[in-house]
Order: sequence, then C-alpha cells, then structure tokens
Amino acid sequence: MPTAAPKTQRILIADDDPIIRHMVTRLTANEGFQPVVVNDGGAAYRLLQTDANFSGAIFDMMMPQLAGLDVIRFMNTEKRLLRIPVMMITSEQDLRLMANSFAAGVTLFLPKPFTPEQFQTTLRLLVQGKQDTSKNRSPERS
Amino acid sequence: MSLTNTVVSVDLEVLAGYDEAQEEGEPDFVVELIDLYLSEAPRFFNAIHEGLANHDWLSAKRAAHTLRGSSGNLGVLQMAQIADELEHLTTNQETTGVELLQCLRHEFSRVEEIFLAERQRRMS
Repeated sequence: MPTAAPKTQRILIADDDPIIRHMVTRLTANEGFQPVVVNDGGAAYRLLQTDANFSGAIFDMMMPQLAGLDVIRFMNTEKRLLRIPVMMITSEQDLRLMANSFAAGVTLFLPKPFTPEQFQTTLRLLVQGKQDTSKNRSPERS
Repeated sequence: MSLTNTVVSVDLEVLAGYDEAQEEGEPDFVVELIDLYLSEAPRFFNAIHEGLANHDWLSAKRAAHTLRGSSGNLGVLQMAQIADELEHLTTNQETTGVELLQCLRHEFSRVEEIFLAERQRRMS
C-alpha cells in the first residue's frame, strides 16, 4: 500500500454528477488528500480566481455552465494556475477530442467507467508528475 | 432501438470493487453509492422527460450522458446501455427517445430490487 499523501495537499474536484462526485471525493480522501469539492465548472472557475493552492484538479469533461475544458482554458491564462496538473474524467471515446484536450493542457485522462484502483493510480500519477517539473502542464498558448 | 445485446442488469462484482476503498470506521461505501444511485437516477429520468417534452435535446442528451457514466461506474450495465442509445439519438428520433425512457424506468425497477437486496445483505 503506498504511503498516503499529507492531508495538506488539496485536490480540487468539479463534477455535476453527484454519484461520481461522491465516489471521487471519497477515493481522493482515502489517498490522503484534502478534497475541495464543487458541483460545476462555473464554481471551479470562481474558486480558482482567488485560490490557487491545489496539488491537482479533477474535472468532468461535460458540465453545465462551464465544461472542464473551459476551466482549463481559463487556467492557461493565469500563471499561478499553470502549475496545477489536471485530470479529466470523461465517458467520451472521441480521439480527436482527447487530442484537443491534451493540446489545451489536460495532464491525464481517466475514461469512465473506471475502477477505484484505476482512479487512485491515476491520481498518484497526476500529483507525482507535478513534482517532476518536466511534466508540468504545457498547454498550447493561444 | 437496438436492445438486442442483452447484458445483465447489475454486475455486482463491479460494485464489490468499491470494497477495496472501504476505510475502517467509515460508513459502508457501497451502501452510500447504492443510496445515491437510487435517489439520483429518477432525477435524470425527469430531466430526460422534460428535455424530450420541451424539444430541448441538449438537456435530454446531457442527462442521458450523465446517467450513462454513473451507471457504468456502478456496474448498472443495462441502464448504461439504454442511456447510451438515448444519448446518441438524432433530433428527429423523439418517439424512440420516449420509448427508451420507458425502458430506462422499467429497467430501473429491476435495478432497485437488486440494489435493495444488496443493501439489506450488507446492513444485516
């Protein structure tokens, strides 16, 4: 069993589906992180305007008001947010969409359905990758 | 409608996979997920119904999309499949949409039965 992360590491979670949101929140907490949870992209956007203290972010691709990719595009405009790695959860299998998402700055994809183990492995990779500066998000600049 | 590929209603092994994430002293994770699913799924049905009734395809498809994702993640396979079909209908297939919504509601009664039995087993 890997060592749990210190509780001081915060992970931003934005998902409009209460079931997936609960699942992801609990699995994130089990990994030792402190989940900070909002229920749509708009709320994530508002939070990120004043709070950049996150070790990672997990967004659902399709959310009302503001989709996951829209939040990432906002993050690309703020230097203080560029260091935050982003995991995108999606049930889309569209390769072009995935390619565009990587180009926009998504760090890792997690396709639905996923198992708890797959989620936790991806979360560890997300946060560990961030500690290796060569793997920070490097989105295309518009 | 192509519901010919019959799949099981619920794959309980998928649900049991969440036991790995069960922390000691915490509420039963699987029971929490069952309760959430049973309370949230009817909301998605209502959203699909309203979307179809108001010719608001985007809302109907979005609700079907979300239902597909959470159903798949909990091993609710038949509902995930029906929701997938609903999500991928074109705008002129409203009648099929209504039929698929009926299928979803019908299938949900089976899922509810299975989930409640599983819930009772875990709580006893």
